[in-house]
Amino acid sequence: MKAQDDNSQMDELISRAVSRPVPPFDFDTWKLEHAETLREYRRRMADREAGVSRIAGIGSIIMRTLTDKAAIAVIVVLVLMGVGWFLTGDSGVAYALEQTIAANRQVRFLHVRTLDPDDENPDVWENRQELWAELGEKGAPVQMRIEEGLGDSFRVIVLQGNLAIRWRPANDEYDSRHVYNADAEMQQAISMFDPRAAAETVDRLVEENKADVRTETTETGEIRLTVSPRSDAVDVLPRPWRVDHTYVILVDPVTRLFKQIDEYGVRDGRSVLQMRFEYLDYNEATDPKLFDLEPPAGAALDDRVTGIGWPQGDLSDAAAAAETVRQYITAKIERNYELAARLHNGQSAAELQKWDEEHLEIRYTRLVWIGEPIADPRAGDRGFQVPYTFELETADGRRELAGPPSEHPEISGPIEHMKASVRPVAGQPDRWIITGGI
Amino acid sequence: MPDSSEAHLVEAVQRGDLGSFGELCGLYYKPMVAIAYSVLGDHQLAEDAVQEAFARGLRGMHSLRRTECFGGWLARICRNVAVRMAKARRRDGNAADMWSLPARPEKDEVGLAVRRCLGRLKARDREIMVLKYYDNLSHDQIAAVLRLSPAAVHGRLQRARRRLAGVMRREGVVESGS
Repeated sequence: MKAQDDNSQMDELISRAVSRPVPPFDFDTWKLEHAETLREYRRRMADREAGVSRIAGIGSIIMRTLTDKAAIAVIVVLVLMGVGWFLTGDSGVAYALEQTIAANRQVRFLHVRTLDPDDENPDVWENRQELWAELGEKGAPVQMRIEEGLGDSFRVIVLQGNLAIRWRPANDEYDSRHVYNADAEMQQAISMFDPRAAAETVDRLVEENKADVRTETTETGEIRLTVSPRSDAVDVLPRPWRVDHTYVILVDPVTRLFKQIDEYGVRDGRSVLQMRFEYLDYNEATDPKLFDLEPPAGAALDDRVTGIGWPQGDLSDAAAAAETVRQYITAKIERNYELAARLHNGQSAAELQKWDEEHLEIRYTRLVWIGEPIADPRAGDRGFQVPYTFELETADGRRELAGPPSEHPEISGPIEHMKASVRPVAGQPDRWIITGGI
Repeated sequence: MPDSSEAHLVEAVQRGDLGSFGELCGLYYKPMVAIAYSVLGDHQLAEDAVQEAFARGLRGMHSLRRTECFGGWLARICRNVAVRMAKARRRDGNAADMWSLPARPEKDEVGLAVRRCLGRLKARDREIMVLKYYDNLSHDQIAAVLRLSPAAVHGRLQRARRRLAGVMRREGVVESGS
């Protein structure tokens, strides 16, 4: 069949070939199918609200792990609440909140694992994350190991003080870097497991009568608590605890420590197990190699600890911060990603290049303006925010200004300044590095 | 789209308002499906790609600095997701040519032939043609996701249309007429 090549015929043919009425987007269904994305989004919002300093790459991994653990902490809280509230339980179980609090005071080592059921095969569990942490006398973390991901994306992160090493076994790649506020981040993470702190939340929930708790004994003698926050608990529940979820907790009848927590949500009107938290070890002897920061001899290491940052020289702190941003943008313009990566505490040279060229499809073309650095106490005594503007070229050849300051002559209108966060390198006070904002 | 209210929606999402993200998804769903379809040549796969693109968009929303550029930014994500899906399908042997092999038995021979011709266009031309004809999107809607002016959309559409007409003539789908 052939048709005449006139406009109306062409329109008809093309429409017939490709057109299709698109139904309205169903956001509610999308949300149900992307629970993990929503969880990540909410975590990020919560972190932002808390003013938590983010460290690209490792930082986000750590915080994701830690915020997952927040669920456990809250659960602990609610379990304790349930126990205190329903001291004898529905079946007369003799268990008291204080027993778990006392037992947790003695914990010096934690080993926790989170598991997801496979969507297509509920009998198959996927190992999401596993965490080992050694705690000091007051419960503060001394060092931590996180393993997460599956298959080729599996990775290991070890943190000690303000240093971290990451290992991707699939391609045997190691990278090391500084972790700013690592103590605070690890402390925050561990505090989420602290039943003493959790008990305060429990007390509040109990006082406000905002959860249903059932206490039972399992056939194997474990204590089982079923905790269902009520809808009016939404104001007092830390994220990611949800009022529409139910949490089933198994408590060791001997040690009174938690063994397992299952999180149930509702899908298609039925209760579905969504995540399992397993407490694998408490106070077991720690294998020192768990926290080994040294890669094996001969392993390729992307060392982002040694020789990073821009040297201060004779510059003032503010001038050094501004110069670091200037050098970073210049390196991007010259496509010197090795140097750019040395000036940015987050991504490797390859990651920076891939981000610009494949994800954003842009090319830095001109440094337009570096503004006066502004002291940023959130980044420590010597932290700065440095306003900047540069020109970029998009994939279709257009030139645009990125980060336009309102007072710049090329730009009109009240556009908020873009600012890079700059601070001294941890442990190397005479070198400066960008930690975000660009 | 885009306008200042859209930028406000983006900023609201960046502040934690998930409902605003739902509004943005509703605004951009059709053009995104069209973009994904232009890569994949399969309606169902295109809708799947958009679902994934929205998820990636929400995860990356905090990094979007130029809130007025949301449409173009989302389109880029959607395009990348669709390209990855297409590569995976080819690797798995599910489709040697996404635009020439119908997923189901094809009764409309002309429709199949036109789609085959569209598949011969460069990705950029095919994308704008599908955006135009998939769900009758306006030039303004197309401009928002391609980050072009409506006038530029018109010009690019005309050029793509001429190229498609040329391919269709060569393939014998249409006869040279006016």
